[in-house]
Amino acid sequence: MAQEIEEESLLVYARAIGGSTPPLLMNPPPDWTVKFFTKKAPRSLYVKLAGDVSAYRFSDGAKLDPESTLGELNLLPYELIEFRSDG
Amino acid sequence: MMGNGMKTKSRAKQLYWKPSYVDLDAMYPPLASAGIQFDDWDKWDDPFNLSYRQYIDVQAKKEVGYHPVRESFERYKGDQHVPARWYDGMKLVFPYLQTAEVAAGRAHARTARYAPAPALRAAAFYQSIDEMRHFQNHTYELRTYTQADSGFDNWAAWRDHHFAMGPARYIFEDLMNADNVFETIMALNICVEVVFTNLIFVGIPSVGALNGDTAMAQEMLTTQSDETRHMAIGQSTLRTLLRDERNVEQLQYWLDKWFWLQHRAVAGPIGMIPDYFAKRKYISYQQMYQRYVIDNFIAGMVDDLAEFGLKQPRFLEDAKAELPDYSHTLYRTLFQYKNVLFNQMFVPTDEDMEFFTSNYPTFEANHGQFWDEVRNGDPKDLPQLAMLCQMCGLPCVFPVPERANVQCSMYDGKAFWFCSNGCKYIFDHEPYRYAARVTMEKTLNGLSVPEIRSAMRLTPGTGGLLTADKDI
Repeated sequence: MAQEIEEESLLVYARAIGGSTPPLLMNPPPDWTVKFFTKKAPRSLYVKLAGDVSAYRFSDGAKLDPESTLGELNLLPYELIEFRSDG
Repeated sequence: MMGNGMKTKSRAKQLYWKPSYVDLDAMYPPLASAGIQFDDWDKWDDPFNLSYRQYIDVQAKKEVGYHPVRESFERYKGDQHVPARWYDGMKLVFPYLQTAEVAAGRAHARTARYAPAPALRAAAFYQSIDEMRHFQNHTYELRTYTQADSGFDNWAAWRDHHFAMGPARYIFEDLMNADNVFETIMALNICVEVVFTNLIFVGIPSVGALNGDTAMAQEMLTTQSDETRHMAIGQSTLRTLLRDERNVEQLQYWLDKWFWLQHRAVAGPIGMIPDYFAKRKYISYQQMYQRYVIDNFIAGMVDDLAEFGLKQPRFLEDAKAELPDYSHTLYRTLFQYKNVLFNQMFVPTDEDMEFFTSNYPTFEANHGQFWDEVRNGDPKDLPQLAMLCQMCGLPCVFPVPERANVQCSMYDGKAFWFCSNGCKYIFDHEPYRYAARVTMEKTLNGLSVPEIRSAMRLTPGTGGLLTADKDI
């Protein structure tokens, strides 16, 4: 039985460097900004990252613009977003 | 001069019977052995060349050696001498093994049907029956276990619906469906039976016997007595094919691929047994792997075949590098899934921790903090399933979750994720074969713990552990 996901939702993995939780699949709405997702996702990953935190696209290592929405990033299905502490 | 009796016997042993009613290429399609060169398949030699009568006689004697031990164990309540945690380990091992045995039986049956050499077909026929015997005897063991602990009667439900059994299905069912019978032989007779069955059917029973599970120990040993025949057939096949240098590249790829996949598949259920589920321990998983895989297979066989151009498996060094953390990473991860598991995952005791630190020099640095936090009351439960490898189905947590070596390939407009360089390498060679595989986290993604249980058709049973939904 597959979960019904809202059509508009994205399907991405997320992980936080330094936490012991492996990557988890998430389905954030495309109108969330990277900044908002960066604030929300680490809570689900059970990790508190110190200082400022940035999001990176794992496949090419690109740092994601915090003001961009997730929908603007043209993420492929099942892309991995990595959160790292800048400090 | 050969007498009439001898002539009849000799004819009966001649396996090459040319059919008059159908073309040989239609009967044994060349596609099943495409790319593999051999001058005359009819001259292929089987080192055993058994008659059916001989085969049955030998197998019957093996059965006589096993069942009285099991019956005695049951009659005299042998289970009372077995630590409870051992049964929790066996709840992972046996559904996994059953998947492997059935797939192996069907894989050998495909070889018996499609192999171009008559001798290989006959040998594979016996091997297929062997796997059914193993399945039946494992089922006897499950019945014995049912008298000691609850839940063992649900093994088929775990096998069919539970994400923890996914790796067995992905890897063994793929092996069963290989187009080329020589890929099946390399995967099964070499990479399963030569490389890893000693670890499963010799190493694990020795730990089981130490923990009082003598019936399982005997059952595993009778299984292994068949595997030795399968190994000999695999080795003779490999040696024969390597004599033609045109086969080397293809055989090397299959060795690289299936060594890595079996390193993953076997580690799933087996790696945690000597280190965690055995209360009484005498050997670590790493030592066991060194003895049966590195010393026996690599030093004892692969290095011998170097003169024919065969190299060590491509990802052998990766496999060795993971060993100090392998069982610990897997156990930790399953511990985090304990609310959706059908067996009990316990917090290691002081004795366990002492064994780990004395046998694994990096244990404290890599896993100590995790267990300290658990002991301080953090359950570490995961809210949902973690990323699972598209190739092997295990969580992408190796070598340790904090520094997981996650790998990615883009194919057909999607990102695919792997737990290792080995799994990515295989996918990149055969993406058309593996991209369509729907892994369990893609069917269970984002679900809460009760929803995951419901999707797997499992409900909480005794002590909060999962049991099969009786309504299905």
